[in-house]
Amino acid sequence: MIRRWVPVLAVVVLLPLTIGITFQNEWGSYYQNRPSQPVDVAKGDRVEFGGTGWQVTEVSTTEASSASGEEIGLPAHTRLVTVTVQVSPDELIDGLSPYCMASLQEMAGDRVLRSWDDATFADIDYAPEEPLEWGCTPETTSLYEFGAWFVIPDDAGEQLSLSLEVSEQQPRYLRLAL
Amino acid sequence: MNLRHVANGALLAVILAVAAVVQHTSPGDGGWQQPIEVTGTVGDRVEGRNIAATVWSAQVAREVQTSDWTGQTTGIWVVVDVSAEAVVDEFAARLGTAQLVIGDETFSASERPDLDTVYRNSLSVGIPTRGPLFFEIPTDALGKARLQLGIDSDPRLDSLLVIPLDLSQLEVRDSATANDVQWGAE
Amino acid sequence: MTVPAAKPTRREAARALFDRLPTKWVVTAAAGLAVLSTAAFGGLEDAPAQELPQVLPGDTHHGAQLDITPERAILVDSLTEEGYEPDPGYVLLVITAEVTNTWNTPATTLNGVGAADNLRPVELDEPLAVVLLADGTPTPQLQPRVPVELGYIWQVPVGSLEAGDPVRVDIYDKVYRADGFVTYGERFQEPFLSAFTELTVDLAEPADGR
Repeated sequence: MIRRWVPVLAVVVLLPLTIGITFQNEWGSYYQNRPSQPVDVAKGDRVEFGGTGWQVTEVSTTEASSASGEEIGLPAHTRLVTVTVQVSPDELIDGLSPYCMASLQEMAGDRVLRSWDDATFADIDYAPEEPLEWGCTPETTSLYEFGAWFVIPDDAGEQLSLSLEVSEQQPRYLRLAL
Repeated sequence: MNLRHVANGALLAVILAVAAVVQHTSPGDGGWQQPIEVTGTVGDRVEGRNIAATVWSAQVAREVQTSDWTGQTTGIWVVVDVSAEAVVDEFAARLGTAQLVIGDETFSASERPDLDTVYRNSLSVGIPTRGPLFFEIPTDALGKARLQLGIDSDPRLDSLLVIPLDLSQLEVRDSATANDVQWGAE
Repeated sequence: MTVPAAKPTRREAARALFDRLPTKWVVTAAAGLAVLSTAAFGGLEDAPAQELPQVLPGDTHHGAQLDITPERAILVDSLTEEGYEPDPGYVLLVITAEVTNTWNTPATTLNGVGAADNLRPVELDEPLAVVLLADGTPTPQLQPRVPVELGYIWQVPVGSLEAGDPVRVDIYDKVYRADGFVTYGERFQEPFLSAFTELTVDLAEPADGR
């Protein structure tokens, strides 16, 4: 009696196994080497990630139409978003704190709608004030704060997150709600 | 029994016919890698996956000028005023493909103006960059053209914006001056 | 009583005859026929070596992708405006030519893939640069059917060339290849010697930085 069901059982077991293994084979390294697993952090919370503590301590927005916006030279219909992040390096790799790449993401719930790279090379007259560092600084191995700044269109939504990618931690990356 | 054979034969013939149709209509090697075209007209905002552009105007001139360069040619210049922006992310987002297709000839935008052309400029999400594209073409090529714009220098497998331009309708000027490239302009 | 054997048919008789023919004879006859047939193609003598055509300065060489008209050979100390400074002990040799892309897609002027491969003075390797003479643009793209004047720049040791010396410049043509199995798109590759030209070295006029 059992013998009649052996082929059916074989298909039931082997089919999902084949699909699973093939998927892993083909897509595994794709997802592994990309920031594809966000670690979401609520607004203002501190998080331990990659042996280092991260916390957003300040967020500020400057509209292009405001006086400071004009001083900075922001293009019409844009705004400058500056984020201050406190970094407390606990575990160093080769004596250096982690290097991160920052981008700003416009969210709708869990979905990323759009993202912007930082405005380091943008044609504007802005730079973080001392003692803020400009982005992640691996040479600094004790507690420090850095500024990340972005120029975004003024039709960007309210729900923004700062995304920090540390290459050693991929595919996980930090998504700090702002 | 005979009916079953006939039915099998007929089914086989149908399957073979369908297979032949599928084989002949499937895109070939190049076909499935074609760019995904999005067509628009001058003045419209044309949007692809990660590039959106508006073509404002086109001019034809024997000599062109920007603030830092004068362009002379043995052919003729087509200057296109365009705004371009990225749509979803800024990863490798630049105006990497800018071509004029006229008949069976393809012309690429000129890199001669260096920084005074928006060709190969990096693009920002939601913030347009406006500037000129310059094309050097033979004098007898002023006909119906397709302007093709894309993010990467290899337009395959991603959006390609296509805007038709009728160059034969444009007055041939002796010289044309183009504006500088502006980030954040309309 | 056995049945008498039927009279052999013509086919069977021929078969039997062929079987008795020694193999050596067949092979030799076939070889002989093959050799005789070469008489139709000029026999077994060597194919005559093609003489390399010479293109005079001002005349055009028509290649598969490019029409090249060699013009001048100029010796100049440096091209500071364009940013080309030779190493100490060297000067710059500039070969100018009018080049037209006769294909229907743009051609590059890069080494190894583009028009930088098509002109080569004898004994020199890749050029330092290929520039558009009109505005100094390095490695310009050649648009279909738009003739442009290009300057090919090499550095040569001081004293190796003087004004009035002849310079033999080889002109190469390339082979067209359509879409490959792993490569995308058509290309012109495999440069082969197609012609040569002889130019007389000029010295750059002081006002003419090119």
